[in-house]
Amino acid sequence: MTQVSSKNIISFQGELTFENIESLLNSAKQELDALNLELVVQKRLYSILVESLENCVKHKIPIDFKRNHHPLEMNLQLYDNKFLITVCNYINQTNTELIAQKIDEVNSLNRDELNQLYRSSIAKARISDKGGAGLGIIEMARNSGQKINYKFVQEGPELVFFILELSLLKYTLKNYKYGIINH
Amino acid sequence: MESLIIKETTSTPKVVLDYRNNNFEFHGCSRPEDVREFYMPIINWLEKFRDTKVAIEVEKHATNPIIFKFKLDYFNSSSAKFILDILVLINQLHLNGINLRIDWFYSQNDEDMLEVGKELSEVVDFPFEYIEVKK
Repeated sequence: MTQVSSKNIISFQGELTFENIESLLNSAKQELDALNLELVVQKRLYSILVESLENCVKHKIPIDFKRNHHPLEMNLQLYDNKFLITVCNYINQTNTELIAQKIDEVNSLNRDELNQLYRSSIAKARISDKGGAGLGIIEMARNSGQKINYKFVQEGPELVFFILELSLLKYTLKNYKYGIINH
Repeated sequence: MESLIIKETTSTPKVVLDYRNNNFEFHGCSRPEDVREFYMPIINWLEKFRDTKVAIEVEKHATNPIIFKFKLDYFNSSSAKFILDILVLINQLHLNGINLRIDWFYSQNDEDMLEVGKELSEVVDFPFEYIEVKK
């Protein structure tokens, strides 16, 4: 039986704000520096963390945590040769369809198609009222190079707990730039 | 027309748009809390620079091309949209007859930053110079 070793690099539970993200990213940077990763891997991980955490802050809805709701959380773990990033937060039910559509779309694309989607999307991007350009999921997929996993847990008539899971290989592959490679 | 200089912070880049000294530079990390608030003054400055013909006057007196230097370590996806807008404006200056160059700096071993530069160059349809920064 093969034993898979795992290491928690960053774990966070609580309220996510821009200031919290700042401090989480600083801690992550220090931890990643200590792992002596290839620069490209380190920067891709950093980018996934930024995009996933900023998405949480932009789309978060007010939650009364006294009512036994899950805490918002973010974890960065290393399993042998793969990093796993999990980000969980509450979103409005009305947003689930669009999020699922976007993730399913990027998961269905190969590397070249994903890069093409990025180029066409950035050319016509408009900044939303929440400050997003609609490129976050595409950018996460390009940096991850793996399929994005997600789950919606219904917590109330309009309240959904959104679990987003991304992974990244610890070592870059030859000729691997951006894009989904693990189909 | 005044130059525009913005100091670097941990989440926003240093920006220098100083036409009197032919110094145009973006340097550092870009993931502002409010991306629109950070980038709109830069976009507005470049539009004014283009529309008030200051650029042509600068070019008349310059012996060398105007160089826009991009020395970015990291930028998030919403910053990327504004960086593309900036590059489009720079390309418009070029189409107006201004002699200019875009220098895209990337750290040694940061192939992704090089790729992103090539990608943006293709989207904006303007060739960049790529400069590797050795550690």
